[in-house]
This record gives sequence, structure tokens and C-alpha cells, in this order.
Amino acid sequence: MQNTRSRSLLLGVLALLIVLGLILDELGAIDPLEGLFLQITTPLQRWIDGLTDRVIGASSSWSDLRTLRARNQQLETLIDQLQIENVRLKEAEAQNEDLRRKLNFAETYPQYVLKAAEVRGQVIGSEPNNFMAALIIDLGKRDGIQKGMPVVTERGLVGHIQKVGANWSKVLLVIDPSSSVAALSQSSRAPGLVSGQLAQDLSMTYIPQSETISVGDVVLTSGMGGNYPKGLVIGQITEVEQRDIDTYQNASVRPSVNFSRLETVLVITTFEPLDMEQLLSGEESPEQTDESNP
Amino acid sequence: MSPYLSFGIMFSLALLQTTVIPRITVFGVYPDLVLMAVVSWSVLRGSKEGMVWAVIGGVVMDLFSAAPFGISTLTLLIIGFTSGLGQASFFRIDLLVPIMVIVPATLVYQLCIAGLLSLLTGAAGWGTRLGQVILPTMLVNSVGMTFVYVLVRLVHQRTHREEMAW
Repeated sequence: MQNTRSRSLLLGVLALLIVLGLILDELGAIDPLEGLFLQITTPLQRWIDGLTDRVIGASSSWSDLRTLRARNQQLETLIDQLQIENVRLKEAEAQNEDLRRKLNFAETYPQYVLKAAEVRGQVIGSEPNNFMAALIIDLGKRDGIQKGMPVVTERGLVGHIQKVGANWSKVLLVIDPSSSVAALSQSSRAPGLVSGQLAQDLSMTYIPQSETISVGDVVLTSGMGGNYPKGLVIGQITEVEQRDIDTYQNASVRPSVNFSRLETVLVITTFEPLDMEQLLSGEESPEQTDESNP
Repeated sequence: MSPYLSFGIMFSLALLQTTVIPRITVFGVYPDLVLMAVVSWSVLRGSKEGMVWAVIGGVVMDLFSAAPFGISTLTLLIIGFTSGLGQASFFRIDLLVPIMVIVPATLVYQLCIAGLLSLLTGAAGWGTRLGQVILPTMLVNSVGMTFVYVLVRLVHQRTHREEMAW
């Protein structure tokens, strides 16, 4: 009986301490401890990750040989198609450049030019539970990383910086269920909201019924909301769900990035995300204040 | 058993959980190594020692995770406590019992994590989570438990005369 009581007492005390920890985390008091811990463990994680890479690389190379021949054939066909497309795109690019120059487009609308300073980060750790999609990268404050900065690869949008330490950052991926990105279809310019669905999948919701979207449309960030710059590739529509009784249409989106094979990422360091909390509270940033009071 | 050894074991497992384990995906999910270790230890050594492993493993996992701090610790603590309740009566019988324990333990663990995440981060999609995450993880963990339990039992046999003391 006494044993049961002491066990329950221990459970109660520990549970109380954890709840206290949750509250302290919300207040940001855990951040220094988390920073210290990750600063110590980052080299260890990087070493284990490198070792895992080498082991997986060695074991998979034998099985890869079997599929290489078939894959090579497919790629050669793809190269032929891409070369034709490349010629067409180069032609379009030259025409576009000419039109831009004539219209002085860039000077009139400088916001259409995406300026991005990139830093390359190595993925060194992943989220320990199956319900979140996050990464740890080996870049931090000392590399100029700040909370909210967009993270991309050459294929498209990865996510944004959620937490930053001295030599590490946690990246919340776009496939995380708590993540949402304002988006639009490249061809029809139909707006919508792309949210994470776990299992490497995305869904696009709040697409107006008046808009036409179709399977294969490329989905880009719209820049609305100020969290991400405009024009980053998110993915491609794989399924459209349109019912007349609904207010909006929905679509399934396959991300352009393969999140299970991420090794390095790029952080756009010149983009400053909009601080919605500050905006909603009506406070002006020092820069805005300076501009309004010259 | 020395709490420092417990810390070493749980720290190593949590480190593996964030580096190597996410590469081993089966049915789109990866096994919960730390959860399996906590359940195994609770089954073998009872609630008190199970809760110590749960707290150590949970804190390390929370520090690595992007989720609010405390979610893994709180959930593992509940699992460590409940898994060890019947330790003295029937849990030491054979390998089958811990495998049977890990299935409901995984369900409770995943539901608690999903519930707390919904509450604290506003992440939605319960149907998706049940179908795409919880059920496959129950299956993956029950297979993985066979290996983890055997390893944890080896540690238990080496240290079974030692009471945990600081």
C-alpha cells in the first residue's frame, strides 16, 4: 500500500514539474537550457548523421545497381524531352527579357525581383515524434539566421525557421500539420491556403469556386500574409475536389521537395517576415517610425 | 542501477531517435525507440524506475523536438507509470507480454502527443493522424519491441540486484 502511495506521489510531483516546464517554455525560460543542450549535442548529431549516411550509402549501392539500368533509360528519354523544352524556354526568356527592358518593368515594380542571400545548412537531426515535421540544421545566430526566415532547396519551399540557437536552428517544414502558406496556382492565379498533411503531403484549401484549377498546375507562394516571399515553388496539384454545395474548392498538392531525402537546405536571409503579433497589436517598428517621422 | 547509466542509455537512445531512426520509415512512420525502452524497463523493473527512464528520455526528446517543451516527458511519464503497475504479478513471464503492452502503450502515447499538440499548436487532422500515423506506428512498434526488449532485458539482468540510488 505504502509502495503504491509513494509511486503515485512520485508521479504527481513529476507531472507537476513537467506542467511547470510547459509554462516556462511558453514564457521562453527554457530557451537558454535548450540552446546549451543543442550547442553541445550538435557536433555529436552531425557525426552520427554522417556515419548513417555512409552506412546507408554503402548498403544501398548494391541494390541500386539493379535499378540503375532501367532508370538510366528513363533519364535519357527525359533529357531528350527537357532539351526540347529548354530551347523553347530560352526563347521565351529572351523575349521576356526584351519586353522587361522595354517596359522598364524592374524599375517600376522592384518587388517582383526576388533578392536572396543564401546560406547552406546541413540537416543534422529530425523530429523525434511522428506527429511533427521538423529538422535541425547546423546554422544559427552566428550565421545570421533569424526566426521566421524561409528555408528552401533548389526544388522549392521547405519551411521556415522556428527556433534559433548559436550554431543550430529548428526548421518547421511545410508538411507539418500546424504549418500554412498563402499560395496561388501559377497558371490560373487562383489563390488558396496550403497546409501540411503529414505523410509528405499537402492540401490546398479556400480556393474560390469561381477559379479554375486543374491537375498538374504548379502551386507557388503568393506572398500574402508576409511570412514567405512571393513566387517560391511549393508543389503540383494532383487532385481537385470541387463540389457545388461547398463555398470553396480543395486540392491535393504533391510537394516539389522530397522531405525524406533532405541533406542540405538554403536559408533566405534577406527576407524579413512580417510580425503579425506586432502588427495586430498596432505597434510600429523602429524603422517604420523613422520613415514616418523624417 | 546507477542513474548516470540510465541517463547515458536514454540520452543515446534519444540521440538515435533524432538521427538514425527517422531514416528507417516503414508504412510512412518510424519506430518510437525511447517509448519502447521505457515500456520494457517499466515491465522489468516497475513504475518507479520506469518513470525515471521516462523523465530522462522525455526531457532529452523535448530538447531535440520542435514541439512545446514537456509534451514527450509528460506522455512518457504516464506510460512509464502505467506499464509498470503489474510488474510484480505477471509481466516477467515471457517476450509476448511486453509486445502486448506496447500496442496499447503506443496508442495512449500517440493520442496524448496528438492531443497536446492540437491543444498547444492548433494542429488539426485527427482522422489523418489515426490512419496515417497511429495505426502504422502500433504495428511498427510491436515488431521493434522484440529487439528493444531483448536488449533492455540484458541490461536488467546485468544490473538486477542493484536498486536505483543517487
